[in-house]
Amino acid sequence: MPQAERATGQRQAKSAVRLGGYGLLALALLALAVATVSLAVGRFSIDVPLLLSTLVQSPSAIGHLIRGEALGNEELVVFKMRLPRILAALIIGGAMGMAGAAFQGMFRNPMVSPDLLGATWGAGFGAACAMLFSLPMAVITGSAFLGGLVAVLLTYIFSSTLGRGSANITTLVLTGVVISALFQALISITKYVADPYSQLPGITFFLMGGLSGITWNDIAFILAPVLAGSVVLYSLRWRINILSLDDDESRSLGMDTQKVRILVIVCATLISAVCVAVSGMIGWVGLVIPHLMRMVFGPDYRRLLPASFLAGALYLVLMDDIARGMFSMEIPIGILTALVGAPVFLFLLFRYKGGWR
Amino acid sequence: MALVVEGLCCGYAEDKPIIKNLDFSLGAGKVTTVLGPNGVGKTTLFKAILGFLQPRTGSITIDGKAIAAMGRAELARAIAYVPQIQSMPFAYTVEETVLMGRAPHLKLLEQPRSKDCAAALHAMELMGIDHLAKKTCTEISGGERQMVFIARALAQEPQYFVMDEPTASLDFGNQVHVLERIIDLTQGKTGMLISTHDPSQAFTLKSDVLVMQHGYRCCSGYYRDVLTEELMHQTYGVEVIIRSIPYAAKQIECCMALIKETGHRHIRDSVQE
Repeated sequence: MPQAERATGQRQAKSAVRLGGYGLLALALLALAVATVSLAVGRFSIDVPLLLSTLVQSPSAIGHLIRGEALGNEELVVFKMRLPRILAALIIGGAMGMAGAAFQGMFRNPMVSPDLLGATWGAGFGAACAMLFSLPMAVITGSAFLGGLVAVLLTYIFSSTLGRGSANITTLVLTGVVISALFQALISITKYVADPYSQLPGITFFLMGGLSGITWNDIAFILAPVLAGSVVLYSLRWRINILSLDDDESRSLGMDTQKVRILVIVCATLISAVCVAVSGMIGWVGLVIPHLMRMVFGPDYRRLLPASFLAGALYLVLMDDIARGMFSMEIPIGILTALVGAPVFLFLLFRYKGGWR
Repeated sequence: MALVVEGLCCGYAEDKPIIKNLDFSLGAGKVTTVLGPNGVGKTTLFKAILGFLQPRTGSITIDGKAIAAMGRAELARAIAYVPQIQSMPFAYTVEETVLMGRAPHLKLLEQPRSKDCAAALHAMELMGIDHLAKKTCTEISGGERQMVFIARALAQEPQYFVMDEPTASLDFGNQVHVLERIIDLTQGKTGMLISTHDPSQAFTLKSDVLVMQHGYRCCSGYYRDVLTEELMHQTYGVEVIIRSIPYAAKQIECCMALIKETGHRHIRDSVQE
């Protein structure tokens, strides 16, 4: 489809504004500002002066929190309930955005994401299995990672075998659908055998995706793996450009393509699966965010990767604000991101006329 | 100091080699044009030289060192590959694409620095595409995109270029533009292995040739010694005339296929209106 390719290329070129380092800085500052203001959002109303005066008190309040001493009402709400939640939204949104961007480059395809490849479903199954046996948080996290890795590797191996080495969009997406369906069925089995009173509600709420139960402990659990995976991906950012070329080309440019690809798969799966383990299935972030960022910053991963992290963080904090503040009852955030993500995906399908390349 | 292929046998299926007992060598800074019909194994030969395909038997060495014993990056510093034009999944700019040629000179986690950007800029200037630096590879013409791939290979600073039909799928004018740039590059110190579907390009490049024929035959040498009308007939199965035409006090050599007459449809007298 050379003509279709030219058409999309031209449209892409027109919309490419190509922001640089200043754009990244602006995005970071915006995310920080929105995160700060988000501390005031929620059922317990805190106005801006009160928020500021509470924030000024933060060193002593955090001291109280660590020593387990009593806190004032607004301090309790801000530091014990909202701050970990907003931090989690930043970390998880950023990780999902970055993992999605990395997967898209690696599979040479702007239509993939951790959900479409089966990573989140595999991770969900891994986590649900561990929850079934009431295992500790560390085991749930590890099991989510293993499940996610198995799902992505299955998708990758089947689609590249079917497509004879070149993973094309249709086989890749279809294989992803099949693998996702397989893991959804496995999740249903875990729900079916779970104890309906003590375990099933927990697993169901977990799968719906939400940040409401996030504690400082959860953040301690995800911080190290997300940091490790993100740092490796960020260091590989220029190599992902080369990985997005044809295999023969990337090898002729002196890269051990297979090794770098496995490294990217492991890191991107690690950071998305670990997030699934604490927040459940928050979908679509990894598809929508990198795509939008590619329009603004261009496809060069030296800018796209950090931009996807920052924009994903910003997006999830905003979504969480809507989930907490919009209605009198909290909405699971996974439902919100799907409500926004599905139409955007449809828009992308229309834009590329149902195909890519 | 040469790229030497000795007794090379390779192929994809166990019992059916594509290439059998091929010998040739390409000296440092020399140019060889590879000719042959479709399916004779030109691309397979290139894949073997680039290390994508393990030879069944025989050896490929650069300055006496087997390429099988070289690491990926080391091999990429010795040989750069210019692929046939293909679509890119993402709209990288010309500058970003050429910069990718610096990959074999950097460590895995290293980012390109200003000296790499300078090397990329120099390569773009040599190919006359520095004014396109900020354009995306989807905005430019096919001929310009081929220049971008050649510039990327230049940025690799290799000892040899391997170009797989660099003028394929280009229009008439762009074929000439790309060929002129390649002729400029032949003046440099880098050896070149260029495959082409058009034998007249071998006459234009005035290079050594390697002619591959079906039935595992091949001959190589200076184009004037090797490329005869009989050999072309033997290779491609068509009648060919090779003539020297005087032009501006020079002799231009050209090679043309004799095509069957198509009758009187195009005689001008008959289209009077």
